[in-house]
Amino acid sequence: MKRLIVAAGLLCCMQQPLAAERVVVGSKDFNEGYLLSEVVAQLLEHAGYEVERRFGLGGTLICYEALKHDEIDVYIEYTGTLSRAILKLDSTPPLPDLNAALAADDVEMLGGFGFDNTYALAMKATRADALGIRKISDIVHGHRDLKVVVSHEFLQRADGWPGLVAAYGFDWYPGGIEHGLAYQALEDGAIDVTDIYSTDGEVARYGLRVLDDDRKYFPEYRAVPLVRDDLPEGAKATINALENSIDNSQMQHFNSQVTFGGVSYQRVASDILAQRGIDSIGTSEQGGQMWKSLRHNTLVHLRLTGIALVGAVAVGVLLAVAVYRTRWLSRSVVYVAGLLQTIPSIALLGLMIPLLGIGTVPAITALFLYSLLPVLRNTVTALATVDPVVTRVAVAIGLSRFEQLRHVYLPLSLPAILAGVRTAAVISIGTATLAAFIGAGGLGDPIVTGLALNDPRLILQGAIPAATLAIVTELVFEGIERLVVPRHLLATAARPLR
Amino acid sequence: MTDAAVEFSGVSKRFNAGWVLDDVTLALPEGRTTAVVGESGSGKSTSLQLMNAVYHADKGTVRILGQPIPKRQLHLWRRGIGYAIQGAGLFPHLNVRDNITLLAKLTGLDSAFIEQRCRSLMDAMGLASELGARFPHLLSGGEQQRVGLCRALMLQPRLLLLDEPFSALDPIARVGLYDLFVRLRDREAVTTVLVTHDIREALRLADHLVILRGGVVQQSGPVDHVQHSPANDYVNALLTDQLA
Repeated sequence: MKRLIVAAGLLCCMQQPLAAERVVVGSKDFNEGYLLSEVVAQLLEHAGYEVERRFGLGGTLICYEALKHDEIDVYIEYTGTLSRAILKLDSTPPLPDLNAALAADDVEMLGGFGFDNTYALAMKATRADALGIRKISDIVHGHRDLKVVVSHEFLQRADGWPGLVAAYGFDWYPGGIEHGLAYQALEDGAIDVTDIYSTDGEVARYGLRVLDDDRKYFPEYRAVPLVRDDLPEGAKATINALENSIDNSQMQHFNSQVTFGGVSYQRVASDILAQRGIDSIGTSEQGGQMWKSLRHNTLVHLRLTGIALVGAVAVGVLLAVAVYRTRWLSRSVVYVAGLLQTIPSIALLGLMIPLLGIGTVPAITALFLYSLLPVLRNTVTALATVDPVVTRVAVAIGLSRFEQLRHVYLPLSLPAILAGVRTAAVISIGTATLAAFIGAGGLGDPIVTGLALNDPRLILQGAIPAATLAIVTELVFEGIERLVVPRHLLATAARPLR
Repeated sequence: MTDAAVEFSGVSKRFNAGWVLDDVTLALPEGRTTAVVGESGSGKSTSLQLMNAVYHADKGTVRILGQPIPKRQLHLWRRGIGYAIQGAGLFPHLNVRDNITLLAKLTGLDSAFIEQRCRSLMDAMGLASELGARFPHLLSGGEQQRVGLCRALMLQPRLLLLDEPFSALDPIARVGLYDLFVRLRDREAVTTVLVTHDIREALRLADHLVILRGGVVQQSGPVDHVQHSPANDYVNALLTDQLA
């Protein structure tokens, strides 16, 4: 009997993790996004939830669309971004109104963390002093030669550069830069003015002057957890425990610990919780994990590109065979494939969220679409330019349509098809690094994280293997070409005419 | 009248530019070699491609070996008609032996027969057997053309169509090839239609002539007959000028 009770008890204990509710925590691709999402993740884990982390999602659009389409359950957003960039409002309405607007997307806003990470313009304090610049309007009046370079997102957002132009009368177009690189560029003197977040750890570190927003243009950017409204009340309450618990200077300090203190964001997150009396089980430090994660990321990367490539070769070659005889049709198909190629990869990934969500499937789909063009175009061109004397003979001696393809057209097009596949493979391997922005992992994961956390070591952990992979792929395909294509067909152009 | 290997009745063919053949009626004798002679644009090559149904007549009917052109399985029907072309048109990715035997293999012929037939044709065309493993780009123009003729005869066709196969060769190679070809043709007893712009070649190889000009038949008949009684000034001029 006693044994039975113990067994039943064990069973209960064992069942608990299985029954634990699963919460998917997303994060934006910059340091504070990682840090706050990690805090929320650890808090939820502490409360017994099973947490899946999908960090480093590429920007507001991708995060919000992922939340709206139930790909993630929570991420950290800012009220200014919410009202302007997402809800397209002119000002930030009171919180209840905001929540009412979000309800249409099945999204709910929880209590803010307490700090306001607004946009601001900043420059090196020494340079600002030398030029006598204290406020934003000083730049417009008399310092038009300054190199103003802002982050890509800021450049596009209504509450970013376009609004700034309206408020201050900037009448020149600034350059764009990855936010994580802007501080170093300021330090190096490559740029003079950039947009920053007021809680950035870099403000003190780089001796920056935050320019006074003398026309009160920038709205409030209070950090708030956005959740799916069907998230269990218990989980919402757990997250709400952090309401109003972090102020601006604390956040600057935490951010600077991650960016400059060499402390992992997981560690800083558990410190933040520890200070608030919560003993979280922080994710263990990485030490010695590098090779393991390198192996994992490489395999994921190869899987993404491999599946996409196989699909692109199958579809590309079949499509080419179907259309190459009809000139207008093959031109249209190649044109459409070319058009797909011109869509910036990050935009294509973003556009696919409503259809395919985030993660592996949309990443493979995007890579497939990018790989299609080189395969399709090379195959169509090769099929259409087979020597007409040879094709006339192929018909006249009695080869069927299929036999002509199988024994004449395709073998003669093989070198060009393989070259197309090779190009597609190399493009895919490069582009697949962006798959990390939609949570598909791969070698882009350390790159995105490294960019967000300003950690060059991490960036190289993704960039070097990705480059190596591209080179190895080139070599492998060269080998395949040598194996399957008769040598005189490979180097037709180089061979002297008899 | 002997059986006609190729019969055209009122055949016309037009392309975008206009009529290439205009109401052509012909009967080419079986077991002989007919040369279809004309300048470029005369329609001679088009007439040849009507014979293996690469083109189809817009008007009139074409009968080959006593039969109308079939509606289905054209490619299988074409295997009964040999075809060789100026420049040979060998498949560059296949070696000589595979060029000659590809169709026989696809037809499912016995491999021992294929091997034996290929060797016999290459012998007859003066191609050393070690050439069998070479790719076409390593052969001279004359050798390529000989391979082309082997390919055309591989399936023992009853009708052989030749579209200026000797034209691009230098004179010495050409004359050598004439002799080889005539010997092989006679051995195989194959009805041959040769398209050429060269009246000397026509007289050397053919026993029957068709003179075409602007898509219209000027004269058709046995070589002797055409030579002795040219039907009009054009035929007369063609014979005298080119042979002068």
